[in-house]
Amino acid sequence: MTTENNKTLFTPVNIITGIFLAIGLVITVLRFTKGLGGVTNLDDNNPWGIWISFDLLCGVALAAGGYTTSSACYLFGLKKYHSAVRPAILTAFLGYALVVFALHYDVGRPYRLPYPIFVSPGTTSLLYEVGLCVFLYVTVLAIEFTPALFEWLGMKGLRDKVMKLTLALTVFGVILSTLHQSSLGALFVAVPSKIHPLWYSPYLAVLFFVSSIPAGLSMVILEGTLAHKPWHHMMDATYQEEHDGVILGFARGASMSLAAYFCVKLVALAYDNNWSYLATGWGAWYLLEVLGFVALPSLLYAIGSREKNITLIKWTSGLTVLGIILNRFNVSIVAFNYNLPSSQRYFPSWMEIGISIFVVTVGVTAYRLIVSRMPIFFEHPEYKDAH
Amino acid sequence: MEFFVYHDFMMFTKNVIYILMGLFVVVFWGLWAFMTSRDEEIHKMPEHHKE
Repeated sequence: MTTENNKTLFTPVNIITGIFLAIGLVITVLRFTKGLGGVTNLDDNNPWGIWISFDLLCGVALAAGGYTTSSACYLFGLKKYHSAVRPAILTAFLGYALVVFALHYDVGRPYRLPYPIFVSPGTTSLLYEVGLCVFLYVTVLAIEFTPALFEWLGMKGLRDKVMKLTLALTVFGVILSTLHQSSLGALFVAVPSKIHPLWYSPYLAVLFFVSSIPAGLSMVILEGTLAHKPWHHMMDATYQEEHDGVILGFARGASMSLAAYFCVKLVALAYDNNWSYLATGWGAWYLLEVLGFVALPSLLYAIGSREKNITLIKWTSGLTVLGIILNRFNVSIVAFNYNLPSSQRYFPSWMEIGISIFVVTVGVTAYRLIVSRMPIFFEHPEYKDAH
Repeated sequence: MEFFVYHDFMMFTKNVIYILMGLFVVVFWGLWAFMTSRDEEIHKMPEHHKE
């Protein structure tokens, strides 16, 4: 390795990445040698912690950009968003792969993860449905990602064969996403007495699915924004020309879907007649989430789209992503077991947070390695306009 | 509001939702009209004024 290569390797980003990965590996050893009790604050009252709330619930919701972008392009025929498909598919694939990766830390016996699929399917269980959908959807995303890999490896024959499956894979992906995005919310319908009434609703399945649409669209905008500076040199003319159009179009979609989400939230509130709780402390927290992180971004997206204000839209995408994370945390941790004394409430240990940071770092590292090599932000010269 | 039977509760909450649904239609129409109003102005502009 040359001195020049050494210089480029030891950048601040790489050093921070290395530190996070090293700490994560140490905690990983502790997790698998000392068990869940050795590294987590989980107990019988709180069997699901931050690894489910953040790594799984937020991970799945924020990876929804894959099915929203590919269905916009291939099912609704909005070809002007074509340049956004590959980055969105890559983010979704890495997102779902990391969900499965993180699940290995959270389940007691990770080597038995394939059992529900291949050995003992519990067909009446919602968790089985979620597991099956995630298993199938990761497979679909992996296949959808392979054209970029095959183009990079120069395997033209295989690439052309996979490209013929694009439409079928997109349809399959939308069906699977609709099923498991909603089922993740439906899991919490089973515990009506444990979740605060403002967050519990028989419509939780609908709320989780509807909120995944603006989450996915916002993640595509945010990812494009964050990637623009470091990988500007990897983006071809087509990507850069279409970039602003993608942001404006997705802002409109996110604004309308956030408005729909806000409406379903209100219907859920009215259906259970929970208006009186709004005057309590929990109500203030609920109003902050619904007004500050749902209604406000919907309005800001609308203003940004109307005024063609790309900067405002980019900031709003960050606000929306934060709002979705806040909602998933509220349902699964903050408002969960709300009636227990504070001494029995769950707060994650530093090692749980460390593993979540480790998982995100693994994802970012994989993303960096892939986009700096494969045709994600540009069309491969041999396959120009061959989509 | 006090409810004595489940039927009363359902009647009350459902009626509120019907009113809300009407409001949502107006809100959706307003939001879309607001977002696209500048597009219409651009379309109405004479050709030589368009960028």
